[in-house]
Amino acid sequence: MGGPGLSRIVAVAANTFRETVRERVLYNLLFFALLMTASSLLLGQLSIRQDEKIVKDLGLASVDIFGTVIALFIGVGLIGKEIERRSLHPLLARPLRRHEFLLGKFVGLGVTLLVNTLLMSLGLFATLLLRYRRADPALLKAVLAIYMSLLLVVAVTLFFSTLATSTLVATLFSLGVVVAGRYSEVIRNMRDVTNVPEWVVTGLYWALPNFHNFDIKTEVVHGDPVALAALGYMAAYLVIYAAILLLLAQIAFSRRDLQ
Amino acid sequence: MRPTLLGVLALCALIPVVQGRLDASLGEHRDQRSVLYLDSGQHVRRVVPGFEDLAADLYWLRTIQYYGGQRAFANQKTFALLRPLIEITTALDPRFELAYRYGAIFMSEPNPLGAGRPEEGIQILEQGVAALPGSWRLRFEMGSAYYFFLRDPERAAAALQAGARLPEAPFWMESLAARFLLAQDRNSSREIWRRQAEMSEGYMRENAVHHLKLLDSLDTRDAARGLVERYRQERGRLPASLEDLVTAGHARAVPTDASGRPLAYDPTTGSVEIARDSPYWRLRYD
Amino acid sequence: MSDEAVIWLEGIAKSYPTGFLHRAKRQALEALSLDVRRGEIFGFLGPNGAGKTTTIKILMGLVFPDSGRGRVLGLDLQDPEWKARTGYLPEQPYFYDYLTPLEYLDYAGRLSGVETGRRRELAERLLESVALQDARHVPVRRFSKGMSQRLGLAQALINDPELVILDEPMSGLDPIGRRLVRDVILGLRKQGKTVFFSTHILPDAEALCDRVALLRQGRLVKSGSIEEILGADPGRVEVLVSGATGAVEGVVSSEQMGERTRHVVEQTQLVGILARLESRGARIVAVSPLRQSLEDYFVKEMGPQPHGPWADLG
Repeated sequence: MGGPGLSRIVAVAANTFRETVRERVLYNLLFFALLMTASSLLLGQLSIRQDEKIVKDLGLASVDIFGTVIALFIGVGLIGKEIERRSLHPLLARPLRRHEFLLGKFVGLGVTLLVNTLLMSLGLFATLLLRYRRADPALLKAVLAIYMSLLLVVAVTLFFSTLATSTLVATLFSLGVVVAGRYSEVIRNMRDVTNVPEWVVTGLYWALPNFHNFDIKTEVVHGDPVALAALGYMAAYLVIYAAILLLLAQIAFSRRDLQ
Repeated sequence: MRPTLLGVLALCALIPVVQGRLDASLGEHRDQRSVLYLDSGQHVRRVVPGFEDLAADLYWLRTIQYYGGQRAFANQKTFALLRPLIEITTALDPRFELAYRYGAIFMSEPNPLGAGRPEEGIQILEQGVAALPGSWRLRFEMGSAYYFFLRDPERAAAALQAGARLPEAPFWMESLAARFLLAQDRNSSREIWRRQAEMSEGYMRENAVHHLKLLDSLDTRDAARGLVERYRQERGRLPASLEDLVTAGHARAVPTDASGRPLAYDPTTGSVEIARDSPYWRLRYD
Repeated sequence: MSDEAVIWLEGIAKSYPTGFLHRAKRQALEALSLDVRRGEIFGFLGPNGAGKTTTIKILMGLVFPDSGRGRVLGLDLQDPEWKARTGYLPEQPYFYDYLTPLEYLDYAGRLSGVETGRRRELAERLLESVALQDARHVPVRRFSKGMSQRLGLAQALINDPELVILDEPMSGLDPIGRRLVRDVILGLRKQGKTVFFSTHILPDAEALCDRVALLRQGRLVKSGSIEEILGADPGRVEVLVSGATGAVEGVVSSEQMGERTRHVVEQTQLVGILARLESRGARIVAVSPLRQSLEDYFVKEMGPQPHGPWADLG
């Protein structure tokens, strides 16, 4: 890849981050802050142990949902919008390689999601500390796992947006795959309980991106231990699966005529 | 492009490996200690007006997932949430016959196959019968559960007779009811499971077939006990092993259970049992 | 003007699937070959839909040809490295509307490998040369079409390229803008750069280009210098006069056009007739060669499209 290539990737990534900031994507953080404040105040009515758990659940779920929505809808437009609006053309007329553009977009959105996730975690921790005088650092493991799943969502959207001809189609497919991937656990348990032949279920289980892999919210909130090895395997899964998607996206993107 | 594609294929091959490691690493801890925020069907109904059927499906999916997860992963298989989940599912869609049927089986099968609480299984079926009075299948399930899990042949027969009067009820319900009252033996149980296997698919069918094979294994065991006894009477001593029965001409082959495993024989006491590692081994038999 | 080919294309062909089920094929370009020499201004001409933009996109690597090959600045067509030394202005360009022109030029320069130190200074100078310096901190969102077009010209030059490729550079511009672009192009040639631009407005090409290529329905119809195409023409001259002059001897024809009279005069007689007119007190408004214009040639040679006016819409 080399020095100039790396600097081009960084340039694209920086511009992508700048775009999300200027397009006010990060305003969702305000809504999250409101949600955290409201829930922590209103839930004081319930029993002592239960409302702390609910705040944790709500906080983690929000990081997950907001992050996924941003990753999905912005991710799908990363390449698609550039092609449709032709803003890509004057850029590709420079020594910028197509794979550098793709990678730069991925990194740029990844940084945005990182900032978003970190700020939300800070908000959650602040709420917990202020209200309950304690915040379990193990929550960070769940946040890290969620962040990994967000990167995988971005990879999925990049894959579909280089293949599909319209942003709408890419959005629908990405949404479908992400939702189906969350049901991976259910699909796997179908082996025991239904009629479907085992190889179909197993094949589906492996083929779909398994978003359930990154969901350790329940464990963390209940205080169950999560081995670092598990996080390591999650990271390995992310790297492998995202690499597959990005390589395929690159193949599709590098042969596409841009109208 | 080709080297990239080869790279992609190589990566794809790694996915099952990593997934397996991840499942192993996380699986132990996935204790299924979920919490139901909305713990009754009526509460859920209020939250999803207009989407009750869809919600029922989703809760049913969750029930299955919970059941499978408890069986596969849980360290203490309490099946604590099973009843509430079933209750919510059927509250959302009272005509969800499958949920009553499967739910009753999940609840009634002894631990660790199920929750081991057949009285609650019966309660689920009674709710089902109230919601679907014309269903002969539910009455059959009730009859099976009373006979098999609760050992109450009279109630079992009553349920079957009620079912026999319903439209589309199969011909054999009446006679099975009679049989329950007359002979509470292995053949009556066999009849239940045979009918169950006939009329079900999927998991229920497999479960029924499993029970049938268990009964066959018990028959083989009893026959083997008889052969051992005959040998003893003829020779004045116990056979050293079950092969001796074959060499002595009492049996054509070494007796095995329905899975093909040889039965366990203790030459000092002469006892014949189903082998401990057999899928048909139980702590107690009916 | 050296003989070195800065752009060289051979046998470039491209077809697109068309029709209801994408079964039919529309040939957009048929075995196109051309070359552009260093230091010249080359005009790529043709009616709308002839395939000019397709050719340029294939050149820039945005579209992939079915067959053919090319070289740019000595490197293979597919090698991205020559793009560091070229600038490109697409047709109807779109630039990120959340950036200001300075920011966009900085981004573009970065991607083209312009060092950090020089970028800002170059950007400011370029914006000044396209008359956008007052808007340099205004988000592109608020730009008019003309302003965007001028920004497009600036971003094509941010890396001080040897070769500049412009697709319809005058489109969307008012006369002042067009004059500006014209001046920029001439300025580039003076610096020894090569300019390759496409247009369907022939008078622009006639005024600027050293050589042209004419494209029609995907086929190169003619290429060469303007003189070669139009032919040497000792020609006639048109003299536009205000004020009545009465009949003038030696003119080929005279025509009254409102206040003015238009005389057509043989080139060889010009000096004499001018003197004669002046002696009569007539005021000379304009003297222009009455050579056949490129436009006339085009209409005459290219004529109406063989398959009717809608053929180009594919």
